[in-house]
Amino acid sequence: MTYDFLVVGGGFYGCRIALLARRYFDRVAVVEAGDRLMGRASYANQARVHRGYHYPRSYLTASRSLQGSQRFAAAFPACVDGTAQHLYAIARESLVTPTQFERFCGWVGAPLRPAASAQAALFTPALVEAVYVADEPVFNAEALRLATQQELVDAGVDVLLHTTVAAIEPAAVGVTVALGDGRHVAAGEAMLCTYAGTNELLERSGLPVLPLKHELAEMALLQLASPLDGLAVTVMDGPFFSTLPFPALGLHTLSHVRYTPQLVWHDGRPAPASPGSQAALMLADAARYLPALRDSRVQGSLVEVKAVLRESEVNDGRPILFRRDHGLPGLHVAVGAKIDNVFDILEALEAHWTGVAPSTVVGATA
Amino acid sequence: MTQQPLGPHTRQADGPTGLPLADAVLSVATVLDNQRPEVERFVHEVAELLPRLARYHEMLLIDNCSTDGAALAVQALQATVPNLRLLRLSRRCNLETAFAAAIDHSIGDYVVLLEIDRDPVAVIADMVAQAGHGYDVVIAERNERSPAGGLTRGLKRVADAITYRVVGYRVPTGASYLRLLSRRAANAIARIRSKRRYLEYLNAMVGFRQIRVPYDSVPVSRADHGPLLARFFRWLDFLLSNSALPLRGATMVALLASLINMVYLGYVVAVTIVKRQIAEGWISTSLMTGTMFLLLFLVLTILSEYVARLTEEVQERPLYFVEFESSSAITPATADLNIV
Repeated sequence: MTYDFLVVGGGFYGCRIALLARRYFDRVAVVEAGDRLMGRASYANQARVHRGYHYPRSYLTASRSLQGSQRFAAAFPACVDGTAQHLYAIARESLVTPTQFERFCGWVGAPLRPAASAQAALFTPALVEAVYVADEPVFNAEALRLATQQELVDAGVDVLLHTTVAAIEPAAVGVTVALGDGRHVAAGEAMLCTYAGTNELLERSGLPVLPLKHELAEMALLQLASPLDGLAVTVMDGPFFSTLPFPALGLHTLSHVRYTPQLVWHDGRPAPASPGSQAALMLADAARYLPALRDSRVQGSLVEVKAVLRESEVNDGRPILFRRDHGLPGLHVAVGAKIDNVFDILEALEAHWTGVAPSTVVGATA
Repeated sequence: MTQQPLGPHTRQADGPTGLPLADAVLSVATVLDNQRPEVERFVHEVAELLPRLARYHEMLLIDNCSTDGAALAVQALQATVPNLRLLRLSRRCNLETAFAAAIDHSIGDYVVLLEIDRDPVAVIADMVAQAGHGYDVVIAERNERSPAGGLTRGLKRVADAITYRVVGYRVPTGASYLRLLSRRAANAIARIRSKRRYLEYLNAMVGFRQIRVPYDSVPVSRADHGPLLARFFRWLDFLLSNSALPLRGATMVALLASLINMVYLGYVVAVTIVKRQIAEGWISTSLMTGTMFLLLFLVLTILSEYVARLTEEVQERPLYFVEFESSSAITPATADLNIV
């Protein structure tokens, strides 16, 4: 098998990069270990279309998020679900005060208004200082997968499912991708979009690993009780939680800053098994702030490995890590943490392939 | 109180947890106060006990600005002990306020409070068993080795009777911090933002189903709530900060004094009319003094009534501010850093 451009990893980034590459290369393929595209981190996340509210301590990140979200909503209008009313609550022990948050949203241009008293009354006054209504939708991961899959078919990109990659090897021209079943694929250029699996594959290939921190992250899946129908809730800013609709399953996800990370490691080892669900702890703490949560039912959990760029651990920048010719000529690596950031890497690649400078500031490290 | 520790996702206990709800979360919270030599033993003992009592549990340490590196020792333990939380206060508070922070920040459906170097960890199991019988407050009571003397007991009885009269509920004295609170009892206590706080009194104030569990005391370096005089002042402090009744007493005295002055003025007038021989200057002096004292005590009556009302409705401010919080991040055994 020979391809001009081979993408390893059929997540959202991998698929979008393959679609872009198809405009510049004849034979393009996506290799995915799982039984479907976008089934790992692209699916098992809170599906938040970041509009900046989440980053009240970083104006740059927030305004970039807002731009990204607008492009994302314009590109995938059928996959964006804004039916739930999103309440942002500022906890009394928050790192930002309500006044700061209001000013910040004003600067960024993110719409914000005080919540109606009935909605504010859902929160424990002793723990929550202010409640706002924000305009922040979620995306439907399943709809996004189906739409992307169709685009790949239409564009004539080969998709190889159930196909693991053993190693990336040097070749006279481009690289050779050794598959798990013993076959070898020659590729003019290869792009690793394996997110949290990147360091594992780089280590297996004897290539330098990236400065990534890995986290085994758990989100509880909830069937919310009726007072919370049609709501999404984010409690800011510190060791708090958020519960957002997860349209792909018709449930809500519950993510908690303190309990969602279960294990942390820094090297390229395979993901360890989960030490057990912390959903009960998440719910116990979240219900202190939002008592109506006590009556919701835990329907299970989504556990997935997250990769965080180590330099951006301390701030909320979350840039895309992009390395061209990483260890081997023709092998590129892209690790992005936010689905609505994808346009940054696409612009950077397009600029590279066309030789024209990108039109906007790119949040990628080269 | 509408909040219940029971949600539909939980089920009735049938396992060995001892908690009324198999999925209930148990918090053990304590204050870290320069107990570096003790803290490791304590954390390990609790960490060993907790999984046997509840499937979901956490340990919360409020670092009251320890200066002996105790917090660093706890942060080192966070690498191996799951669900171990450390919360450092930004300035040193008194022990009662630090325990208030412990109650505020614990997330459990049941919260056990104890002191690291005074209270035996094993008693937690007994207290949890009592919670399983539906008690909201389980207070561990030490079996005193030397029973209090007759005088002390007598004074205690008198003090208890006065307390009941003044604040309107009975406050059992002499308990330590060691206790278990259900979520709703803990929430109720957390809502009282009074700056002068004594957990034993607050506990009595909020009520709920209570039971006492006896335990044998362990030798401790610190005395139990200090000597008799200190306990007397604690009690007095509690009375003064929880009741405007003493001030109301002052109002009554001032009112009585102004009435007496009014009578005295009447007496001066009567003497002036009835008696012929009156020492020179007596009438004017008496009228002046009587009127002035009447006005003075009337003003005092009104002032003390207003102060009493202010006391009852005084505005609350935060008790403390949190400097930082950290929690466990368990790293698998060979965590070598790989940096490009």
